[in-house]
Amino acid sequence: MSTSIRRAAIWSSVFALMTAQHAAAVDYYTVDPMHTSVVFSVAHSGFSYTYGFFRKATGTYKLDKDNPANNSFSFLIDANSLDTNNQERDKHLRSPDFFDVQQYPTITFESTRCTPSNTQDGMIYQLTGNLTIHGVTKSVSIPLRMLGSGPGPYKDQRSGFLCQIELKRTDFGMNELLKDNLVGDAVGITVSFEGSLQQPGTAPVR
Amino acid sequence: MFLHTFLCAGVVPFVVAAAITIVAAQMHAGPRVFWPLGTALGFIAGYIALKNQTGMAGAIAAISRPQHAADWLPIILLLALGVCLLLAEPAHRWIGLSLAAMLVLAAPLRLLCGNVRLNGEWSAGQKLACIVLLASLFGATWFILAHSEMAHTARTRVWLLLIDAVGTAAALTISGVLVYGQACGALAAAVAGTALASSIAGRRSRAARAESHQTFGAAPPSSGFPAAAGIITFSLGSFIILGHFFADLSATSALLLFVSLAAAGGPLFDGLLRIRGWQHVVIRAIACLIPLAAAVTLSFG
Repeated sequence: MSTSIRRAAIWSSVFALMTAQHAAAVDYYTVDPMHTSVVFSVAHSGFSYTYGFFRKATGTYKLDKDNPANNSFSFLIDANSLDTNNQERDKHLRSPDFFDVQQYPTITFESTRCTPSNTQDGMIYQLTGNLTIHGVTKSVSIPLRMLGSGPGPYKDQRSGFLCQIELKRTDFGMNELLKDNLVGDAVGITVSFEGSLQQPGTAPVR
Repeated sequence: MFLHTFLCAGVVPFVVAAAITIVAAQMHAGPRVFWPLGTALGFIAGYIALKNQTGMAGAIAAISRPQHAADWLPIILLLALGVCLLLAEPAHRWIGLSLAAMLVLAAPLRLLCGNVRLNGEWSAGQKLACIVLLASLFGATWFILAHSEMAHTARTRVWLLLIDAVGTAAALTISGVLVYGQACGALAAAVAGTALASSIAGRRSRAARAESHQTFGAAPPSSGFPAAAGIITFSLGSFIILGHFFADLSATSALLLFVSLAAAGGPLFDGLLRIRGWQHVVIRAIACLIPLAAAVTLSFG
């Protein structure tokens, strides 16, 4: 074997080893809908807060242990699945006065940047990404706190997160019933989810 | 909240429609011109006022770059206004009719193109059938409302149309969409403003009186109402269709509302029964109000 061929073989082995190590450090997770909650709250006439949740949410995310800045998250919520424990109110919230689910059936979030920070509350990922609600896409910054990571009750690898933010519904074109603060502009959103590690060989997140 | 709605959906369209009607009459326009003008522009003014929740710039942006289905209505109504004005001129009647045919086909297509059912759930055949059906509904309603020129029923028709618009607003609001209900209220106010101003202008304007006599004999200025048939069809009719496709208005309620609208302004009973006076009013009112009441009642379910 000539020297040049031997050198090429060594370099390709090193490159393959590096790639394999990098691939092993990246974990792909699928959001577990059973252990995912998307809750929102909005003020009613300044007297109380009404709470509701979305029953159907799915998503995937990628965690890079070696380079957390490479993490990415993708979330999809079925807007039609909203539930505030009152059918008439739900009908109104689904109508063109608010979510207009017959035109905009989904709420999506796609992260574009992840800035990790290790705080006394644990690891917090400051996610920047595109949030689409009611057909309007806005760049938002979301603090995502990692609640835990490790083997779950069924011995599968899991990780879980919590995020709490406040949005203005008018930023997303939901402008009705603002007068007299009948339905508040600020909407509090809490999302907690856990995901299970995808088995090797399954399709990656993106 | 209620004062704001009353101002936007009531006072603004009423005043704008009345002002435009009076100005148009002063400029020697006849009822077949000032009725479509007053109704369309009064409604559009009310719609913009209703959209003015976060500032006038947002309201103008909403209708100049429409995102939501209902926000296409002002543009559709401006096109319908152009067609109505063309149809008012006998010389341009065939051009007007051709454009009207295109508009009844294009309007439901434009209104529903963002709907999830038409965007993905339905097959191409279902979509085509739906658009053709809705275009036929628009065309038939426009035709019926435009061919009712018997002078002695003009005031009755206007009153019933007002009740019909308010009833449709109630049905849509109960179905879960306040904005559509408010917009139907704005149409009622625009029709009321045009009707009131046209009766005032009819007495004062020599030109309007001359055209009234020429066109309808001793017809009152409110007999210009059939000329606004396209505006009424595309405003009320569109909200009925949007209420069904984007909210919870049932197909039965939607059809009953169309029947009520046709009965409020159509020539059906003039031709069939040939009766006059209070008997005519009672029969037309029954034909209009029974389906309207049924539609509102069904909306509660």
